[in-house]
Amino acid sequence: MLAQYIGRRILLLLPLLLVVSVVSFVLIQLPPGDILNMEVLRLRSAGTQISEEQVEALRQLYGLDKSLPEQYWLWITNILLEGNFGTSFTYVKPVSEILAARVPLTAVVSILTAIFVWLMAVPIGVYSATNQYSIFDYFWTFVSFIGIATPGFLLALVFLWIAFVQFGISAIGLFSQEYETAPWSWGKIVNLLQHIWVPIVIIGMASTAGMMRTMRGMMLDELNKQYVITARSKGLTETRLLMKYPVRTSLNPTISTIGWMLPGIISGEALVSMVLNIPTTGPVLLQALLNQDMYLAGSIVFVLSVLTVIGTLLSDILLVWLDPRIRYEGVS
Amino acid sequence: MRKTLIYLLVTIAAIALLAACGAPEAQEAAPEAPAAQESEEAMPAAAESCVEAQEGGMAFCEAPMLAEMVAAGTLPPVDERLPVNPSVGNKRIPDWQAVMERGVYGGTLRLIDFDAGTIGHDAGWISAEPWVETEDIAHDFATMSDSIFTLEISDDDTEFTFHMREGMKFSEGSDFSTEDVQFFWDNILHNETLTPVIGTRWRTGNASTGNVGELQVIDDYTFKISYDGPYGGWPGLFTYGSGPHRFTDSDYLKKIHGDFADPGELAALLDEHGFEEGEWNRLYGLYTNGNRQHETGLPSLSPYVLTEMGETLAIMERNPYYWKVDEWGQQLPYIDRLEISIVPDVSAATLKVIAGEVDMVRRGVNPADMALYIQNAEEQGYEVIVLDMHASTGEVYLNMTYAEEGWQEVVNNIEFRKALSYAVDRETIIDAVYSGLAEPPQTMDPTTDFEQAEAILDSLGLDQRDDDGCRLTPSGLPIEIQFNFTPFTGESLPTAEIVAQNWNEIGICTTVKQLEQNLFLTQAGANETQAMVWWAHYPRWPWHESNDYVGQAWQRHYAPLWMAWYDWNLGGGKEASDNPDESDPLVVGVEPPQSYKDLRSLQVELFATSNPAEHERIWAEMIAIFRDNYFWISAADPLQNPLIVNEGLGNVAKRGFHIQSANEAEFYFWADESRR
Repeated sequence: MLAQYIGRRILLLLPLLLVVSVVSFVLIQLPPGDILNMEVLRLRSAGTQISEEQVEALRQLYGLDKSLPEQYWLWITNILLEGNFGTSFTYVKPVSEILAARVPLTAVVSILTAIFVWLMAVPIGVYSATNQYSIFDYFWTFVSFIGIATPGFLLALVFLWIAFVQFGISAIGLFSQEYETAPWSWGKIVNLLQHIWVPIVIIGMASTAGMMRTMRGMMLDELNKQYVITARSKGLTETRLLMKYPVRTSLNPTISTIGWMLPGIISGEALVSMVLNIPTTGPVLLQALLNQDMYLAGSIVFVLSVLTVIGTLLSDILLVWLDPRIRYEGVS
Repeated sequence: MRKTLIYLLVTIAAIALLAACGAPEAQEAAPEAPAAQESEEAMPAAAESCVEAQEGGMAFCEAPMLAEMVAAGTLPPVDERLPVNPSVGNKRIPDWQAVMERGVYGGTLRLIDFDAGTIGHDAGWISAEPWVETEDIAHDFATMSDSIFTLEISDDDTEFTFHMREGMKFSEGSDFSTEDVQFFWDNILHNETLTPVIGTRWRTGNASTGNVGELQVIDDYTFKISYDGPYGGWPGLFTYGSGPHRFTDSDYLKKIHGDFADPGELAALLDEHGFEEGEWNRLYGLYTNGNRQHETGLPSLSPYVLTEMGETLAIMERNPYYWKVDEWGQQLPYIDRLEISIVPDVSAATLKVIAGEVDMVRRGVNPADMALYIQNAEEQGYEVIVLDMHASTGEVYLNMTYAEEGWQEVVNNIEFRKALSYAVDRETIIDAVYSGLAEPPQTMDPTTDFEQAEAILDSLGLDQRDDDGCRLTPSGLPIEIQFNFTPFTGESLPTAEIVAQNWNEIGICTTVKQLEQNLFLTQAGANETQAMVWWAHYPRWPWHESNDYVGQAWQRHYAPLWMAWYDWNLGGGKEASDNPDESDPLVVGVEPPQSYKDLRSLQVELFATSNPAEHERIWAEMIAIFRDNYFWISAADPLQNPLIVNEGLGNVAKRGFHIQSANEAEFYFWADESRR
């Protein structure tokens, strides 16, 4: 039953991914002009001379003389058959290399952020609900409103400014200078952990705040229900009662939103990463879109879509496991 | 105070030293000054070479890090690495900008760049080696000196003989000789896959109709390029950046060149980099890209070679075969390595700058952050030097061939353009847009006088107004200017808004419209833009951006149809066309006024001669034409930009053009001993 459910879900995902790939490739090509206009502008503004012969040579070099469907077909078949994502024009290197360098870090930041969000939001939400209108509740309500209302990049800027004024350092980047180009080692991982909490807290701020409010609201709904009163009257300890019934029910929306929390984190991450100079996919995607570096932008959008779709699948499965009431509805 | 004193002493010593020996001739094989024991702590009391100080009887000296490699047997001795006649001393920075001191080896220079995956800005400029040099990039042919080549120009300005440096080597140790030049000429420039269209710079007179020059190799170290007509201005294109071409070793290129590479090896390389069969031209693009040098080992002539390229940090190390020495016989560069932080955009660089984590910043500065830079300068130990820019980021252009009836009735009248120029409040623009870091334009009348502007408009018969107070043409048509801009530079929006407000005040109704960059360029090219704010190189920059000031730049700012007229009637368009009776104005263009034709013929004259006095005369005439005709409306000229330099860094030119400040970075050294 469960296997059939999952199988069905996966089958549904395949055409979705195909559509996503087409849309992401076509959308990037929609604006007039192409990467060359941008490349020429960039070179000229940097003071580099570029002549019409070089532009012409570049146009051929990049295969921009081919038609759009032809370009798409080459791109998607190369990805599916050879795992070759094409070459980035601005980086002059295979897109797969750029992805290999940045997607894992993006995933690490996103997943750690999600974990941070849960670790913070669930206990605080539960506590705020059970101690409604206490000082603690008011405090976190205040914090969560600020968290929701303040964009992540602004928090990042404020953080940078405080770090600069207090400690005189530019607290940007994920590694200390000596580890930036070093190969992975135990030291580098420790160094990463020393830096990574900053973006995690900043990126997770908005989601934490939102989820805290959701958790609190759900709990307040549940706490007044008959079954809670019944359980309490049966003499169940308060902790056990909370954990066994209302918390479990209230977790429902937090799980079902994993699917759209991931893209939220990834897009929120882009700006924060720009500000904090974190080598994730966000800044590269933004630059690639601005430069119309279509293979790079298309591939990042594609890979992130795949990850999001997988995230949605996982949340569906988790939800089914967590809440028997909504099990296998579509199947029967 | 003590630091200042030391600098003062060092400077005095350097001046005394220069006075004692005089600048050696560029062509001298080796410095011949008698040597005394050198001491690390203090400047030597008199001119002396470094040679006696070292063992082994070499003619030149080298950095300790290279000496170690020589001792370990991994590198040939310094004399074998340098050409027999290395380039001696600084030639580009005149004394009024900086007097070069004798540097001490060692240390790291921290730079910053902000375009993902590239190090083209400051490090790119450090890597640029021009073919020949002029002082101050000022294009004064009278100050021309040798760099990669020594150049001889024939009396009729048609033949250019290049003398190379015997024994000069690329960064991996291979010889740079005429073989490499010949390979470039025959198999790159004349290869249709790599160069589908040979550009105007290789054609007589820098004109698209000119014939491509001819290469003649005379011996291993001499070659000649000749044109079928005078092209004496050609060397003006050599003195900036890397000149018309950045050379690399022909043997290296043969590995990836479709006509030379072993098919099996080439296929393997194509496969490795994810290219299709036959796409060796893309492999060529990758193998000649400086940002990939750490992987390809691209042989170069630059002072530093890229050794590591991470997502947020790139490392460059000295080129052991670099072909320049200082006046004391020490091989350059002085500083061992460059560390380039890569941030997502310019504003992200500011934090690193004010935290004192960067030693030299040229492109990564933002004039709007000037107050922040200055506020932190003393504490972080850097200097903020304000220098002139070579380009303006917000100039105002009226399209004189925009085909609207009302517009055509007025715009071709010089007095109308003059009135609009008088109504540009330059003082406000300089204060509000450039935070005061700019001057009123020097190449045109900088008058701002709204009353006079209105008086001129009234006298032109533009005194009727519609219900909104907008002036009408004498025949009663509305004049409504739509300003297009694209936020390529941050200055375009505020400039456009201020100018629009100014013009509305004198009754010329103006609106501002922001466009996406490519759309903006497409419209401009199709003659659909009425007015724009765009950036330009100043008309003090005669050679490299010559197309900017005649309106022929590819964004075609001030009269697209005049350019079309030139292309059709004089650029061979008519002859090449299938339909010589064409009538589409976009193709055949509109005949420009005599003043513009004069401008274009002066440009042709300018490129024909190598005589500096002639350049000066022609240039002055061209500027007079801009000034008299208001072809474009300059808002400010020159702009100024801060250059951030660590206080401990020596031999930095603190005057001159902003853009050249990194150009002679091989002379930088750490005067601050703790940084060596």
